[in-house]
Amino acid sequence: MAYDVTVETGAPRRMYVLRGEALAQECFGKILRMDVPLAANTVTFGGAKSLLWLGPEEWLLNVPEGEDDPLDGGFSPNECEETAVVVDVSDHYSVIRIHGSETVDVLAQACGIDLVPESFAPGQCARCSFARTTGIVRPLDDRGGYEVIIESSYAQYAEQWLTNAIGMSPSDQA
Amino acid sequence: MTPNLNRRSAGGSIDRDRVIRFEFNGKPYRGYAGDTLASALLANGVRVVARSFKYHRPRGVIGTGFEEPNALVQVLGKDEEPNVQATCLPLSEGLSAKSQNCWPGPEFDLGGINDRISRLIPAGFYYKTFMWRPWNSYAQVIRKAAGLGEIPKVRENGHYEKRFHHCDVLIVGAGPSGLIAGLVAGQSGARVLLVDDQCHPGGRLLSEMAEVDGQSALQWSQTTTEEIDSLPNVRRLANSTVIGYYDHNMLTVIERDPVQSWVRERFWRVRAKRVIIATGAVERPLVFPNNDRPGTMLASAARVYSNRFAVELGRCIVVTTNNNSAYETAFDLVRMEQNVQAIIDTRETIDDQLLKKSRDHGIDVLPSSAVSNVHGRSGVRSVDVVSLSGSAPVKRLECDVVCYSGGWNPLVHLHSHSGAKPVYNKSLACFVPGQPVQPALCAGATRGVFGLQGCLEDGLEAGRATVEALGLRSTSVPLPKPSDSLPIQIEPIWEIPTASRAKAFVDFQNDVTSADLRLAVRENYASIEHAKRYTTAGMATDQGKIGNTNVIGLIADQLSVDLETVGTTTYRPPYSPVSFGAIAGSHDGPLLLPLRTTPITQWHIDAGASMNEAGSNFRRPFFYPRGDENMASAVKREALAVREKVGIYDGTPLGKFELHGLDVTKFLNLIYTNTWDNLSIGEGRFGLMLREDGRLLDDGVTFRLDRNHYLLSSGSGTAEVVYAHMNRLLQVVWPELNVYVTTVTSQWANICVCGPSARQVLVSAGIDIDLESGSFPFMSIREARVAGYHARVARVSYTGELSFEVNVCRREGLAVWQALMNAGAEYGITPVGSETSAVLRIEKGYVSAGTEGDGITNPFDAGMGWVVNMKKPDFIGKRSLVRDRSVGGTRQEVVGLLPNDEAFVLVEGSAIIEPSSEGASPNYLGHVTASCFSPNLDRSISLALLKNGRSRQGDTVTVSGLDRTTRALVVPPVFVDAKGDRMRN
Repeated sequence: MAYDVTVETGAPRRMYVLRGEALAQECFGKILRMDVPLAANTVTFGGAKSLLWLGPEEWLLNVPEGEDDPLDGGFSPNECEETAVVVDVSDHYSVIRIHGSETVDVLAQACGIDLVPESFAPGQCARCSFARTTGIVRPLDDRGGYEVIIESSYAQYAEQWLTNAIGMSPSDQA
Repeated sequence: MTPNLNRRSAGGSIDRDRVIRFEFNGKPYRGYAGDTLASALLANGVRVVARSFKYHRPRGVIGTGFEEPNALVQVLGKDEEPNVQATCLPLSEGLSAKSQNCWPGPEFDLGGINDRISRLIPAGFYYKTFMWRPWNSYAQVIRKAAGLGEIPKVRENGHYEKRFHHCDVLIVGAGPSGLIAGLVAGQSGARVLLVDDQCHPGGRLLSEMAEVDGQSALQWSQTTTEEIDSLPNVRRLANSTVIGYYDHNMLTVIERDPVQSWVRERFWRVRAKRVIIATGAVERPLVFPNNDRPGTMLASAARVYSNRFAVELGRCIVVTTNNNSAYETAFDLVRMEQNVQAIIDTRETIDDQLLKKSRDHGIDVLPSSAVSNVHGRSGVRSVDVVSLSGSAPVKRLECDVVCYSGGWNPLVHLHSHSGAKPVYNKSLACFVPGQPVQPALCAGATRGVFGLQGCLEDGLEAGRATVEALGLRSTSVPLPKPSDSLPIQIEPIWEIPTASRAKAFVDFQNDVTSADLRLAVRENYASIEHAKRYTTAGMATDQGKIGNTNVIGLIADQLSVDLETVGTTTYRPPYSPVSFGAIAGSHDGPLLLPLRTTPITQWHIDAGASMNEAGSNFRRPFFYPRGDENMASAVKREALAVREKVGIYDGTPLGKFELHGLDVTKFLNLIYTNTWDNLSIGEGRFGLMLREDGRLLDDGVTFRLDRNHYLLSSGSGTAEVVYAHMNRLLQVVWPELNVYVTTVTSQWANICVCGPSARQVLVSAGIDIDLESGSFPFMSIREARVAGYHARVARVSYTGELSFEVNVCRREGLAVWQALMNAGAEYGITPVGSETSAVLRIEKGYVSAGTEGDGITNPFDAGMGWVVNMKKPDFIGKRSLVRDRSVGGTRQEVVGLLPNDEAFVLVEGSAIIEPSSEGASPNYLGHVTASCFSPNLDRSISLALLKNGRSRQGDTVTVSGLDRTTRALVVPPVFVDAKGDRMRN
């Protein structure tokens, strides 16, 4: 017996941390052809690309495999070179996908944010304490799909932690 | 057919169709579904359920819930657990439990001798007696006698869950107040969590014969619960206890036996906007000699066991009280055809109606009287009744059950956890909640409102007020109309005056008597906090729920002050005992630590490395034993390989940060002790990072990758501290600086190839840049392709040898490691672990921020003055370094030590003392910080912190560690290649 939840390792993707003040934000918008989210803990989309607000002047760009990557091969915007920062973190972070009818019961064990749809729905994200490390959590759909972006060195541990939280011992899954 | 000796053939809320078999102290018994272990034992005529903690007196059940001090049992079987209150343990098929605090058994217990010698062991005897050596002789005996229950010998494998929860309203308690508040809050649409510690909601309504709105109280609580449960915004937890109330309305809940069959217990951390505390009240005993004999019981408990569990308590019952509530018990018992012989009331004036009603029930009422002694050791046989007003002779009454009520204690514990102070209410003779300090309301008996009508009104009002405070609209829930209940009309009496010298118990669980409290006050432990600790009153699993007010009353009497002046102790979480499993949750076994991996971790494990946790939860190879090598021989082989051939080391855990912005150079000048203005692109520099107090925080190399772009590295173990330090400075101290710090620790796998053949290995693996010093000097970084993969190659050294750190993307880390291993085979490439790395750094005398930098060491002590530019206008820690210098005096400095016995490795942490002062009062000079057997010098070496160490070089000092004292020569802290030619070559 266990919760109706599946934990999967997400496919590798390109990820970039974007930093910068107003001028840089404008520049990111132009290059990515996306809105830059300015409200705390929100996400904007451009095709399959998504841009997550992580903090004031800090975003995480997600570019799934196969999607056009405007930042591939370096970043040299002419008008905002001095203040815009792009750091490739495609390997620094790993993605864990969680879905099933009882994902909230499992995620509520890992993080302290309020997970009800009125507080946390697709279009939102949160960087928070997650299973004793730090994760970036976001709902993907309204059917209980979530993804957690976690520092790669913790990914194996986090998957084991979630497997245990589902009610299976890590060996059950193996 | 009834299987139970002392059970009525009908009535009660037990399910008589479901017989449950259980064992107690090895004997088989039967009970019914709906029983607790306590009710089933009483129904089976088991009176002695345990022995008391100190005097080992036989004890029976006296309460019905978490207030129970006596009936602690050890649950046996695969889920063995000590200190379970029999009153809170639902009976389950196959349950097996045994009594605690007794050997061989509760009926005959050898520890009972303590009761006979009790004059020798009064309160505080422990503190007065066990002050002298030899500790060992009596510690063994005391340890055996101390503590409650036994730690289970088998490892338990239950699955414990911890979860967070958010709600608008948390209601604690589903008695009449909690239920009606839950209905009001639920109907308003608020998110409600309703928590109750019983298996069934209703609280007192489960066992009172009152009526509400024309139906039985039980029926009313069931319909109300159904109504509440039908609301989708209400979540109700039964058999669950709120155990703590913390800041910012965070409360913790233990849910026992959740619906998820695989979860044994669930620990909730609930963040509630508002809280309603409706935890009710518990009755307290009267204090008179031998008030603990099996067969004595709280009057309210007698009512519960009789009404709810259909238990026949005895053949002849005496009720004694100082208030009206025990009369309800007496009337109910008579209705259940129990023989209530008398009500012994300490009050002079008793309500006429009540006297008439008592006569109608055939009960004698003895006003102005009290029980002055109880006869019968393992069960009540009779009581002495004394007149409190005249000189009437002591009268003896035969009976086998004594029900007492000394008044009621509102359960103000959560209110107290929340930071508020309970206040004394004189007319109710109890402590009630004071001013709330968090968004919470108390309702019903918790607030001293004892009547059912009042509880319902209070709950309704608390629900309404809470809903309004949330900005929601409350629907009009009509106030239910209950049958009348008696006003309490209490006249407190904290101890029955008597000539008897028998023990009168105040705290049953810790065997604290009224005499103990008088002794404590005589010895000036008069503050309630002192008296509690001196006598242990109010401690242990029940936290004195029934006894505390009597303790306060007795101390107040003794000091001739009122109870308000004495005050309560501060109640702290947990409200009731919590299992260790619930506290640990999943953090056990393989999930004990959040262990991190590098892309090469599995390779290390497959290569047979001995792994250990080091630096920020990484599991790292310690050393790689081959064949029958032990640690010493493996480390020797690895260390020699680095100095003579080539080694390879997984340095991935190294903290890595990219710094971007217009002000990075300025920032580096502020966080490091040296100068950063003139660093060329592609060059790196070693930096020392200090705390504000001038002590070492971290060290590492920072490279300039571009004009406004740097790569900073920190120690593996200090990465998080360094990141927090930099962010604090940027956000709080210098927000005007344009600097962005991004952690890239896991973006890059870091593979260090070190040793004389390092160049050949890289060339053989395939590298597209020139590695000679002319074009790639020491302390520089280059972009390159290594074995076909894009890499940042840095030329730094932590071993003192020629080293290249190859940084590649994490996903390519393993492939590059394997390519380098293959390419290095012909050069004898040897994987080295962290222990070898430590040996190599000791040989070079490289200071480690976590060992030589022990929170006291400054850079000058560490011999690293060369990294400090005191001429810079400012840097973090500069002011403190200036102060260190101006204060002067002796400082401990880093030195090397060569032990006289070359084969003996000094124990790290050994004290260094002046040789002339060996003996009684040694002159302490410092301590050994790091030691190893150096394979390259073929002798033992150490680093140490030594007072005025640099000026003592050439001296011999005494080193005293564990069981050996030896001598060592003080030398400069570098043992291999002092000039550093090997790494620069």
